[in-house]
Amino acid sequence: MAGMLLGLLGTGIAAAGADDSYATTKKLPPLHHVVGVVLPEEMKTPKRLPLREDRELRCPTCHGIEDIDKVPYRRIDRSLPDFLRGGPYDKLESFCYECHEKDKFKRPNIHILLDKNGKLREERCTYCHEEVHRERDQPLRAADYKLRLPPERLCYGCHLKTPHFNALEHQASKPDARMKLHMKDSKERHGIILPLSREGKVMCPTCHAPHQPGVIDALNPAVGQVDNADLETGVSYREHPWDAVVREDKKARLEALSEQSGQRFELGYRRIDKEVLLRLPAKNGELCLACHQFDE
Amino acid sequence: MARLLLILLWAVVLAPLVGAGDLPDAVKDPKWWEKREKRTDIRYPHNAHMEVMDEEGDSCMLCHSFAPNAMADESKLKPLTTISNEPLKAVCHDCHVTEQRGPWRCNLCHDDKTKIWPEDHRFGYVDHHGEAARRDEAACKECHLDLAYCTNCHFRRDTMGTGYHPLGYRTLHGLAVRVDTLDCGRCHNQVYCETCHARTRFQ
Repeated sequence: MAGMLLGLLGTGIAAAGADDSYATTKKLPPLHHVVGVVLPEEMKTPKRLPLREDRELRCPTCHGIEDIDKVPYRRIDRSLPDFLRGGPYDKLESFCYECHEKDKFKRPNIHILLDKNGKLREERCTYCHEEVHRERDQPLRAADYKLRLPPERLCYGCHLKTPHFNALEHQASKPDARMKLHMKDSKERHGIILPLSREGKVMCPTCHAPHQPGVIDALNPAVGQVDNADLETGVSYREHPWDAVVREDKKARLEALSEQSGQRFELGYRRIDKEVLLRLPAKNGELCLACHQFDE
Repeated sequence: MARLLLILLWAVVLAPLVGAGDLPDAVKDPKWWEKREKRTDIRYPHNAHMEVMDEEGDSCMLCHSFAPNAMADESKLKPLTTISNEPLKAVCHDCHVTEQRGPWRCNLCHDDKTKIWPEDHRFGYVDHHGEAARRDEAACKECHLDLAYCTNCHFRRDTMGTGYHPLGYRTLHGLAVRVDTLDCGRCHNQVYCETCHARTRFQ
């Protein structure tokens, strides 16, 4: 989300002309926060985000760059820590929550599809499906899922396209004939499905089972095999001594990358403790080995 | 009938030509893992590691990270993912060299020793290695983990001039022992001394 906002912001800036500062054009980039608005008394803002005396929000409220409104947009260095005061921020939302209350903007976890009594929260089904399928013990054919978007794009409505490392690499890949044979074996062996997109490519639901355990009949191969964690908590990790080894392994290459890009990166290792909504456990490699096999 | 003929013409004559128009392998941009396969200086036999990974309670994700990631800028994410997917020296060496929990023969993974040699090993190093070993023996032992690598040559008795000590050293070695016993102990253990001394009057 933050990336998308920044991307749009960048596009807007690039499209603007040479003398395109806010002071001359009075135009803000797309998706920019409104300025000139007087904040209500009940909205608490941190001291490092200064408002005008009458509580009006101006450019310097958020930006630490001096006279930023007079700098042409294309010359604004958004990588400066004080581009957004108190930055840099890994997630743009973190900056938004400096003033806005996080809880009020929190999205529901729509994967929690059952209430405390085990009753289906039907309104959550309709985030992805056009219709609620109430005959839960009757399996549906793929054609009858009535998804709001093709399955390969559906998850991006809420999740980033890059929610974890190697997501992109998997989404772009198309299993070859040998891998498909191995996948077929795995599906039969484990009694699961490993669905591919219409183009035969890997997609999020190939590995992730989106339905909370108990929503689909347990004998249905579409049900996820991983059921050891609280959906509210999600995936949890444990610290591990290998973290230091992995960091040492990556150190030199990450430093070189940081020099090139001007951004600091870290890569470590934490062992998965609890995992959720997967077709097979990943923490022992079963999920990976459902598709991948090695000659030696 | 005409339609059937057209279909047959496509299947027999034209379809293979379309296939021939595909880019040859050399022109296609290989995926990172295809490039990785060509890294003959390092190999990682996955199947050979399955059992120990299972015992240790680790999975593929120890090396191939699936950690949560909020970065949406693909130009930065791609090189970062490549780094995260390529475990190199520290990860392999922790088990195979530092802890020696796995087989630690270098050529098990490094099939061409010239690719992992230090620069100074390239020309006539065998004639000067003694000097370097005296200067920093620990540096030698980073790769030459087994002392037999040294003693296989230095303890040989069937050739002249490969020994560590100068000719006639046997006569003088008692003096050297008294000067620096620890230096002898770098190569010789007590048994080596006793084998001779037990048979002689020099006890």
